[in-house]
Amino acid sequence: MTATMQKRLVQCSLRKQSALGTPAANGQFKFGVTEGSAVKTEIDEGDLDTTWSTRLVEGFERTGVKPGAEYGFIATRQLIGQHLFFALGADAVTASGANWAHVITEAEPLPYATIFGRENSDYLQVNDCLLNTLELSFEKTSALKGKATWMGNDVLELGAPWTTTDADERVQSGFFNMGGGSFTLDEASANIQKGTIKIDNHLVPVDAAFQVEPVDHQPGVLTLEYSFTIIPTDIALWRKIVFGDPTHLSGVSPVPQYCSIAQQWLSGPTDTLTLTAPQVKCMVAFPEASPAGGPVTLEVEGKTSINLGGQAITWALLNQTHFYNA
Amino acid sequence: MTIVAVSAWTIAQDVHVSLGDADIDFVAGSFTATEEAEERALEMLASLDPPMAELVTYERVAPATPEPAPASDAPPEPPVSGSPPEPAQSDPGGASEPGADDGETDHSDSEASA
Repeated sequence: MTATMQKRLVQCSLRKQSALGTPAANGQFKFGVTEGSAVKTEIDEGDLDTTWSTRLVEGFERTGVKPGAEYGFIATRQLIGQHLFFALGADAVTASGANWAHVITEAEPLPYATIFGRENSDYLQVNDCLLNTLELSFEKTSALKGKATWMGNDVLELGAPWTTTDADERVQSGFFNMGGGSFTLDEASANIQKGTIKIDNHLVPVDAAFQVEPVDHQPGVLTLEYSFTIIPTDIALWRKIVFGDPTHLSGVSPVPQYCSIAQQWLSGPTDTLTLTAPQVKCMVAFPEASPAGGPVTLEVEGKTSINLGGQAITWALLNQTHFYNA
Repeated sequence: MTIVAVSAWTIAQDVHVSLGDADIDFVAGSFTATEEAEERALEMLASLDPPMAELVTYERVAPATPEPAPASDAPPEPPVSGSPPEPAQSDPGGASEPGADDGETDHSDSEASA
């Protein structure tokens, strides 16, 4: 009797391609996932029907196959930078003591990646992938977690296991969390409980009539959205957003209010991950009352624009990886 | 007239830049960016917040090509009354040294050879 497959035996890896149509030969880091799958294929098929002497469907047609990947991961020290680079497009790296200092920012164009996946004894790869969405989430001091969706042009079943060049990324190697970190909203420290940060490139497949898979993907608008739960000491933030001034007591502002966000996660004694977004349109609901009492919480929803200095979001990362390239 | 910009850059520290598919290594020192990808990578570096912006200083100048002689001796037209002066371009990311060119000014006169 043949053994059934084991869900747990899934591994992934990524590597930047040198160009569209030039898949990488191997992965950079091998990592496990928390959800999703290493390889994803969406197949669109429809009825191809005509009349005939029976009432059955005459046949079917395949109109699209969309390779990609969708998985969750733990923000380990090297992996988080790799995903942020693919999400935003630019990484400038210098040495800083024993660590490498990355500054990851938005730029055009986005880099292509080859995604390698393993499912039990099957090894696959998806070529020409762009990162569509990257959603990071955290709560208290638990590990920073990510969820990534990718869209690629081709999926292959490999005849031999794929390999990697760098050390495996496993949670015991170190991950980022907020323990010892910091958070400021509108340049004031705030007690943050949890939050999510979503980067969405709004990829659009470039479909051609001569093949069932996309020939490429074109990024759409880049949106950077935040959702935070903070425990405030007053309602100054709400006043600023509604009135345009944290001390103003009347007169609703006719224009949106921008706030800055700065947040830092730590991993071990040396590695840090710092988010800076100088121009975030924030929305805050007035705090809800409760007969049960307890601390007031504010739900803050934000969306980044680019400021007049040309800065939208900057991720500064200190880790042990020199670069995320081919 | 089309001015082909030439940029003189100074890199304070070795830096590796991944910009989309391109990977570029800059070695500390002064040089002239020649490739489009290099130029874009340097401008990206210069636009970043500190500390990365502090790694790059640059000056953009026009090529040292003589200007063609003016067609007539007529004086240049005076500015339109009430129009504001050209705003000074901000230094990208504060990268340039004080007094350095902001990268937008046409230096063709000062660079033209006699």
